Amino acid sequence: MDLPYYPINDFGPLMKGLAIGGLGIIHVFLAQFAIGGGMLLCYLQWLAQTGRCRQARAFVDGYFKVLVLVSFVLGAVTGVGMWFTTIQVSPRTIGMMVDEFHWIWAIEWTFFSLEVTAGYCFYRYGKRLNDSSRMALLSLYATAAWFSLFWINGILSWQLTPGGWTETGHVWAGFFNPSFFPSLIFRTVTSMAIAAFAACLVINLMPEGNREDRTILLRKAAHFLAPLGLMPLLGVWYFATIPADSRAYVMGGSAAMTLFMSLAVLVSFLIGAYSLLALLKRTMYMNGATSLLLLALTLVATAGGEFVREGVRKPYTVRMALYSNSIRPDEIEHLRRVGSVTNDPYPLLEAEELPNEQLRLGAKVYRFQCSICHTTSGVNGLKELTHAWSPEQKRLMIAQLQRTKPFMPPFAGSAEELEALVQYLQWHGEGQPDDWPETHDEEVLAQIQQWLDEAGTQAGQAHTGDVANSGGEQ
Amino acid sequence: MNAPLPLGHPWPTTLYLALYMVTLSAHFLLMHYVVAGVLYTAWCAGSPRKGALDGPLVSLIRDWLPLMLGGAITAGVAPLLFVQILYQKHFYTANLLLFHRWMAVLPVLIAAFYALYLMKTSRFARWPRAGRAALAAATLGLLGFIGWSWTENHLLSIQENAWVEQFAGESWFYAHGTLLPRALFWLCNTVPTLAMMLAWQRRYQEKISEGDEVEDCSRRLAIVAVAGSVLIIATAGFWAAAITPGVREAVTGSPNVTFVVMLAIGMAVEVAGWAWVFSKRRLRGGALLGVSVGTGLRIFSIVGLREAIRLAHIDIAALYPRHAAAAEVGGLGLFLLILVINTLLIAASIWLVRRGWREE
Repeated sequence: MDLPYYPINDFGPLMKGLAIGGLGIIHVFLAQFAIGGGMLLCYLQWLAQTGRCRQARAFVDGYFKVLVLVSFVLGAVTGVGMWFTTIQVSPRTIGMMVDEFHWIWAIEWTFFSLEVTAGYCFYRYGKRLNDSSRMALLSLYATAAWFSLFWINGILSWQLTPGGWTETGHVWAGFFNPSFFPSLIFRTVTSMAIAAFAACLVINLMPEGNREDRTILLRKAAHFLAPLGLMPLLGVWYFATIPADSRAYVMGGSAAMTLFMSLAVLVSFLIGAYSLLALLKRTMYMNGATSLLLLALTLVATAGGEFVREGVRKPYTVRMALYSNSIRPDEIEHLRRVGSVTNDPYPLLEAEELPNEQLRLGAKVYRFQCSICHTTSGVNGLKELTHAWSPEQKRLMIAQLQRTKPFMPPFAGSAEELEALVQYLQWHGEGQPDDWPETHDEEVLAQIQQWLDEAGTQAGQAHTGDVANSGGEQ
Repeated sequence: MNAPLPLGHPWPTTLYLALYMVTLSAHFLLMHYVVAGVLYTAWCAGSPRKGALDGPLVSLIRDWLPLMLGGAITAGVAPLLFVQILYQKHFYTANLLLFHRWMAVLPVLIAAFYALYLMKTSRFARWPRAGRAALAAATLGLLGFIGWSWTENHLLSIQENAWVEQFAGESWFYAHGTLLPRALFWLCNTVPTLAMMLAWQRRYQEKISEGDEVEDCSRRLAIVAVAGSVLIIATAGFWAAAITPGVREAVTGSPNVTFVVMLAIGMAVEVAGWAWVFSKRRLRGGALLGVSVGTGLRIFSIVGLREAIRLAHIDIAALYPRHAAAAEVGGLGLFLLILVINTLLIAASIWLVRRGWREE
């Protein structure tokens, strides 16, 4: 079995997921700003050229500058950054995504190129063009931006709901997966809201125009908030399409997921309620500070939503195909037989600090299997998570990890490696003393092996309240 | 493997190599403009001459730099995608080994991008000399850091036997004997490319000037381009001396010598075109077309040599099954169709702008 070993970096007390999550949230927010921005600009250009809003034309030019300065720079670079960051966190995950969907990504690149070209053409020459040319360029820009979302959405939603791809391996079965359309429409509505709030902010910051002009523009931009009314329905639709165990995490199965989901829903509700009020009560004026606050709240809602989307995939990064620790389900049995780090060529950097060989083995097992989501004593620290467990408990809990917590992948190593990991955690829990005895009790190893065999190599099953409804894929 | 790259391999490998080489060439074309453009801007920014930043060439460059960097990043996405298919483990491992150093490329690129927008403003030209020189030099430094990081990353990716040692040493840097000559060679290559692109831009400015006096820059551009070509030859010699005899043999032996020949022909065509421009003091379309063909040949042959050197270090035959498996996934047909459609739409965007100008 050809399992590639990559050098694994230590992020210190920071969980690796935080790095990709942080950048991901910023990128998603900026990308959605660009997508919604393109649509909004088309709408305002249409208002301007049909005489429905004379103030719109100047605003379109000003807003587009903001779009270029923010989205074309930060959005583009953080997009490339997502690849780099994912490589740092999980090279096998991004590798699998690229292997399966590189033509989709290549298609997305052609739309990105069109978006940038049409965008720069408008940015440089828009003011000198007639209305029909302006509209054509803006339409090309907006269409290309939305299609970028269309293609990327298929890849991202595939990670959680791979659909028919799991059986057939066919790219289109994976692309048009069960959560593709609800996710696409949800993100489109979010993009429109972000663009509208950003527009409200820009309108308030515009040096030209009086309050009356601004009010007219604010009302026009606020039209893009109307689809927010669909959010509850879209949310329900989306949750109906995700696997039952993922849904169960959000509905109380995982405190963190429930908390972040609640936060995202609450913030979205507040944003939606305020927006609808602003739309209905036409005398309401949204000033710069309010716009900024609402934009910030949209970022918070995006962050919560993205965190949940990443989190409910557990124990996978690609459902049924790759566990969150970058091990494939079909590799578990092999690794239990030969050992997970037996062939890892990369040495342990802190080897000198560890008192014996067994701890060194444990540290390598921790690095290979745990460090992608855990730290030793930082965020999601194993020391704190397992401190109260006795060594016997640790052996059982880790050997049957997928039963201990169904969002954890099965342990993918030998009994000796598991015992080494237990000793490594125990040593950390006891303050990393200079002396630490090695344990080589055959009975203990036999017991670990028995527990491993009992748990098997399959993923765990979350309690979904419906035995038959577990996503249909287990 | 008796054919020059990307040929001589099973069709999936050839396909991915071809796409990688073509898209990387397009990325280099735009990146050359940015690097050499900032170099020239820094030179002018440090000049004590009054109005040094208002000259026709530097004004043009400053105006176009952000757009060119945006284009370079956009064009760079495609080779970044295909390198992950072709050399996944190598590329990822090098990324991981350089870690923070590598990731620093992102904030540095963002800073450079905004610096280019700042340099585009008319206010920048009115800054005190020290301030504008500092900003231009800092931007050049930022771009230099990015180029150096890419080169280092690339060199580390092809030295598989250095990976474990690099990891154990916890170093964020990878020192390699060819790094400096390679970087210098690359830097010198940016100069004639910028000259070619500027020549087209100036020619277009002349065409739309409608009788207004336009300063003739043809001779200046020709001198700079030819000087850049001389430096390319000098640094190529430096680089050739730095690589191991085995790699040198792989590059200059059959079939990769094709790229050496192509490079020589490309540069000869470029120089001939510039000689014509110099003697006639005119930026004629035919001559510039010749120069452009030469530039295209030069850039593509450098990309070819780059791959030839990589393949002298990597056993690509071992990667054939990976490439074949990747080629089995669907989507190629749709990609080609959409590539054509979007290329036409990109052309339509540019046509719309030109039509708008004409109407104006």
